[in-house]
Amino acid sequence: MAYPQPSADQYCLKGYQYFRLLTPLASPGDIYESQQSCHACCVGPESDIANVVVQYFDDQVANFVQQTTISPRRAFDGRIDARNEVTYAPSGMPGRIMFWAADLYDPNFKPTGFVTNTDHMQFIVPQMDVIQYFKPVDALPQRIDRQYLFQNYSVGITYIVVPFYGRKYCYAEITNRTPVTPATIKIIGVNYAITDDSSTGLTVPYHQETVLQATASLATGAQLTKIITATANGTFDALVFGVSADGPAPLKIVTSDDE
Amino acid sequence: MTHAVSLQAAAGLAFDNLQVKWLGNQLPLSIVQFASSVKPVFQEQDVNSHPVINWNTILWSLGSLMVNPPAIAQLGLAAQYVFRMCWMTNQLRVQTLITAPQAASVLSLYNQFLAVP
Repeated sequence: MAYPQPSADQYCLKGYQYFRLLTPLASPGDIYESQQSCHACCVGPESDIANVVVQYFDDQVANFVQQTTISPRRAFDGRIDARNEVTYAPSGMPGRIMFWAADLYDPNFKPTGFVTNTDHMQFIVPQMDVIQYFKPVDALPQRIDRQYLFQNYSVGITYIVVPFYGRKYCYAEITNRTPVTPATIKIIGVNYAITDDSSTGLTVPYHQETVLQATASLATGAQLTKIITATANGTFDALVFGVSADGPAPLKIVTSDDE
Repeated sequence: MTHAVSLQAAAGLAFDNLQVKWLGNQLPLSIVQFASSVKPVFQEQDVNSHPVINWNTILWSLGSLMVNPPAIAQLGLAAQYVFRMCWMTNQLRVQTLITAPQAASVLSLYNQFLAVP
């Protein structure tokens, strides 16, 4: 669980060189804090979230609220003071550094055509990885590629939602290994919107969906390979893989920041 | 404008509801009224309340700096902060890190100040 969050204080007091906040998002509203100053802030190597807002106290701006956004290729390499001794205006809250994902996430998302009684949603919950350095550093980490492996699925269509924030490349390969029946796969790119999809029967959610692979039927032993790139297909918050298969149908997905 | 029956619904309706306030030049006042009313519900000494206090600080600051008519980008920011604050409040309630009455207060204040024309 993401809350209660680990405290940066312990890492600083024990002489660690950094505080690493690595956590799956508990909700789309996750916000984390540190009462420790630092020499640099960056997105860590395991982060699915691409854009993280860092808020800190600044004497010379209105309400003392200063923000910067860090991303896998754009760290903040400079001292940030937590300023616990002063207060933000107008709330009067003590100074501290705050972090939150600038990217949107919606655990209630269901793709168009989802059938409540038979289909299933499976989310790879996005991880946020932020590192606060307590000493100056020469080099900051790069975000790693992510690999996902799936093989067996629920009855109906299983929709697997894979984080794709800021990624530029995806390789997906599926092979139908069921002995008799065909398998199907479709791939959708999603950009989340702020929308009320908290219960069924509401108006159509505002999320944007792009079909990247129309439903394809795979006979026994048949294979489908799909490459998605930012240049050719655009950028998405998540990729949704809708798979139906009675038996094993190995699906390998690799996402990367490099095309 | 739509009254929200839950904090998740309140989050999802944030953009639609704040747009009405924005069009009526009421957005800054509504945000400040909401945030200042939420403040006494959560105590700084309770670390588990900090995520809501943090969002409230950010939202309050934004609202207090807005000048009518706020730019559309400020409407977007405000909607995003309200969306996240409602989700966060709901999550802390689910984990019993804050009390049900605290969460109910946020929803009630949302409906009072942000979901009424």
